[in-house]
Amino acid sequence: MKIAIASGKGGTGKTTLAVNLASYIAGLEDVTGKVVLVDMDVEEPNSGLFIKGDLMKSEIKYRMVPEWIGDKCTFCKKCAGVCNFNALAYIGVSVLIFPELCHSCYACSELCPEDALPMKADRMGELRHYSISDNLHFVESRLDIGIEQAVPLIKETHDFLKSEYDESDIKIVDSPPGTSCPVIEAVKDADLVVLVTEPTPFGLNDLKLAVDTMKELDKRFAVVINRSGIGNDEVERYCFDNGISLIGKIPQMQLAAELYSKGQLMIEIDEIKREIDKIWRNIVELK
Amino acid sequence: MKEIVVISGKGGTGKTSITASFAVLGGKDVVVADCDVDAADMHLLLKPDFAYKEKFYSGKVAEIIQDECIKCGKCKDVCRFDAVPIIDDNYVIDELNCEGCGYCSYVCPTDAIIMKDSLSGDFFISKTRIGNTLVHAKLAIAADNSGKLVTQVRTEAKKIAEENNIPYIIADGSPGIGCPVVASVTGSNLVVIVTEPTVSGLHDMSRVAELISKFGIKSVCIINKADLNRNITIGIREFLDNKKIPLIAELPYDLAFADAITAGKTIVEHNDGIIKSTIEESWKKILELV
Amino acid sequence: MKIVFAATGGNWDSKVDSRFGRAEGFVLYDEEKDELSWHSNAENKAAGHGAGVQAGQKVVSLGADVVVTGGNFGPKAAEVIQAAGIRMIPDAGEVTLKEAYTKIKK
Repeated sequence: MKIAIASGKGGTGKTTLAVNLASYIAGLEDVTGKVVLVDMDVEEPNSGLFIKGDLMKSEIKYRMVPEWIGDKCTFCKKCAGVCNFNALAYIGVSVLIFPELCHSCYACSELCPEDALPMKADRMGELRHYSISDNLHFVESRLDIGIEQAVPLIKETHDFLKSEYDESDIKIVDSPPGTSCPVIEAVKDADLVVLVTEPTPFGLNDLKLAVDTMKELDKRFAVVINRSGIGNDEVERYCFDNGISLIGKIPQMQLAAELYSKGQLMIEIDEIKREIDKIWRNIVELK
Repeated sequence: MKEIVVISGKGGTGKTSITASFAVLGGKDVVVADCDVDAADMHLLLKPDFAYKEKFYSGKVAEIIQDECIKCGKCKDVCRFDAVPIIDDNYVIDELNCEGCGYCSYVCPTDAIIMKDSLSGDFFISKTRIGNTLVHAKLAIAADNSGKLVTQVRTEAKKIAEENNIPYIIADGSPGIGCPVVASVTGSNLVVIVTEPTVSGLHDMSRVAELISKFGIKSVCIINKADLNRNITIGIREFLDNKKIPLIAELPYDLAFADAITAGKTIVEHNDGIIKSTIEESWKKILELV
Repeated sequence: MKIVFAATGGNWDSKVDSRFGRAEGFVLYDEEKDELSWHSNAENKAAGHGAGVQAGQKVVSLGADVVVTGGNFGPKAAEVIQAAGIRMIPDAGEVTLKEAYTKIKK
């Protein structure tokens, strides 16, 4: 089972829910198999600040980019002409390659008449695999600073999960914020997407964007309200009016904000633990 | 004309609430630019009239002209993005998967594949309820936030400021450390970093501060929710000291921020106490420093 | 010497553009011929990513010896320009091309 936790904007409690939910269900007796928390917010992976364990494995992740072989090049400029991403510059004496702009489409490489642009592996980031407890694991992928494409690393992370874990293991995915390409890749094969929002006009506005995205992708989704008690009831009304399952409300508590600030789990607070339990029961029913 | 950009690295630190307050305090002396095009929220507080709207295109997406397709399958063979499924015996483009690289169009023997501009959002110029101009945009679903839309928002804001002799631009910057945030800060006069004393707040603000210093732009910092975690607040102060970034204000953790948003107002219009006076003080300091 | 300015317009009274990759255009001043020419940057302004690379390539193709912008060169633009051995002058400020040129000559 794969559950993706997402939100229209950052800072609504996406990581909070992912980390606390994964930790909570790993401690449940009726959960058999492994629970894996996966941080796919590869540009700003923050889950690891809340969860510590033993590093089992670390893998450097690569993608393919062209390499210019000057001896073979006849300066026909075809490569710079076919690149739609401006990743190649022809400057008279040489061809410069900007790997961070390359989308690994292979067009320049395979259309080069002289084979002067073979593809080679280029580092984009690192995947780390931790053991937190007997049945709780943590996978974190981190994009190197300066690499602009998050999608290939997210793809690699999905592949890693497929090779390491069974279909029946529970994967909780902390997705990137927003509604652009990385989010779409992160939630791709999720059985259910949980959208986290706050009960304020900002939260509602961003939730609507996220809901539109899920509809466009034809994804099953449900909503969790974080910091319930602030703002107004318009998010709730929106969910009700549109037939969207609202599967939990995590209460606003100063203590919770303080625990979060220190990088600690909120399930230490009974009231929040009960709500996380309810969210989990609802997820099981929905997925 | 001076341009001030507010950024945060991490979401949820109060960046937009503070920027909107500056927009109100600046009044007719500012043009407001919302560069947070992925989650644009400024309009919820400033209530613009959406007077001018235009479609925004960025990047390309392939389209197969079925009448000219001979079903040779070359496009599908070269595509690295699984963007050419066969549906009802026809080769078609899955627009969500298409990267816009154009490789398929180069290899198609009958030139049956065209690369069209990809619609990636809407762009607006509005009058706000306080009478100043807001330039804003909305990124389309699954669109690539390249920084181009951000650039367009800033360019337009600049043009309006110049034509009307308005001395300042106040911009709500993009989150993160990628392309959009680079596009929001390059060439600006002052960057205001809004952070919060949480482990993730500190982590993300240090990354964003590194980015700003790379561009050699002057920056100042505001710590929001400063009393939430005294230890991390002290850590942030030390970090700022080291980096020679002036700390211009510390704001308390206060639900008044959420109340103001709910009331559709900025925090300086909603609160009459310390928060209001601190933000007013910060605005004055910013105008002195810029 | 050939000097290229990132510019908002095509004459001496035009302002130097504070952007480079997404500048309105480039003005080439050929000192020997005493000629000023305008080269629009519209296609790069509209580029998704990599505007700096393309703009850099354009400056190279104009045969510049020196290139001037009002603000900073992006890292990628700088790499292209450097590789071609062109001298970069950033931070010219919000001045006219005339003022920037006089300043350079000093």
